[in-house]
Amino acid sequence: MEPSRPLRSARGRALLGPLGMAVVTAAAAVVVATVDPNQPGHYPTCPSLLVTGLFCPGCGTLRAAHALLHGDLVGALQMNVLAVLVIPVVLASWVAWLRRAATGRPRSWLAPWWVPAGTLALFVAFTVARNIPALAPWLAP
Amino acid sequence: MSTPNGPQDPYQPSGENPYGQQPPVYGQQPPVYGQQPGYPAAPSPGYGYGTPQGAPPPNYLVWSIITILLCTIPGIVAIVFSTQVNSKWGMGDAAGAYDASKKAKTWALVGTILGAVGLVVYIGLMVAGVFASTATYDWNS
Repeated sequence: MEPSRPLRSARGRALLGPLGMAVVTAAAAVVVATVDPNQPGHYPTCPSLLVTGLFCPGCGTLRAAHALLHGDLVGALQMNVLAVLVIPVVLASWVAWLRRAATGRPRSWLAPWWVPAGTLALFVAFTVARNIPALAPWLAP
Repeated sequence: MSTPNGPQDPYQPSGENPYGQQPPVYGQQPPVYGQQPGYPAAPSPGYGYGTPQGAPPPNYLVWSIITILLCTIPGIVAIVFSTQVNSKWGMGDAAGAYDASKKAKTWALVGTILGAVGLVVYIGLMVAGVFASTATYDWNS
């Protein structure tokens, strides 16, 4: 029995997840940076916006990403505040994923319950607020 | 979920290192939830306070957030289960936390697939000219 060999290949396969995700994200970033979502006809309108006429919590994420990739933080925040605020969380989570895959050590800590609960509340509140016309100048895309 | 074969000693010297097998390696067998180190080491799996020993299950919170930004409803259900993962783990209910983790993963996956399939079908319909006159949202209205 050779425990190190299968372990190492499992480790290598575990790394495929975070590294593959990075490659896919980088490719998507290149597309979004070069193909401007502000120009009509470049991307199809989101089906849920077309059908409901309401802004979902993700509305404006593509244009926010485009603005951010061109260094326009204010423009990105105007498109979708929450999506921009989520980016550091996603990055930190990816680093933790990469580290777990590289070291093989399992996660050792779980946030208190109100972290995911608060996230849910935040997204629901944001969805409602950005569809209120009075708040639209700040929150709508 | 089958019953575990008995209390597992996480520090058994003969077997492979259980920590080496803990991270979910995608494409491999799902982790056997009764076997994470530390779980029913004591005869009564405590429902009292204090986190259980061993690795906490993933709550897939970030994945759920990303599916919500893709305008899919299942992401909301996934976050509800994410909250349960953290709260049950915090109360010492390891089995319940792993169960909620599995459900959160399922719903996040459903949201992702729904978003991907919806997008492909939608782009297909667009290319076919089904929405010829209505397919753009007027951002200046």
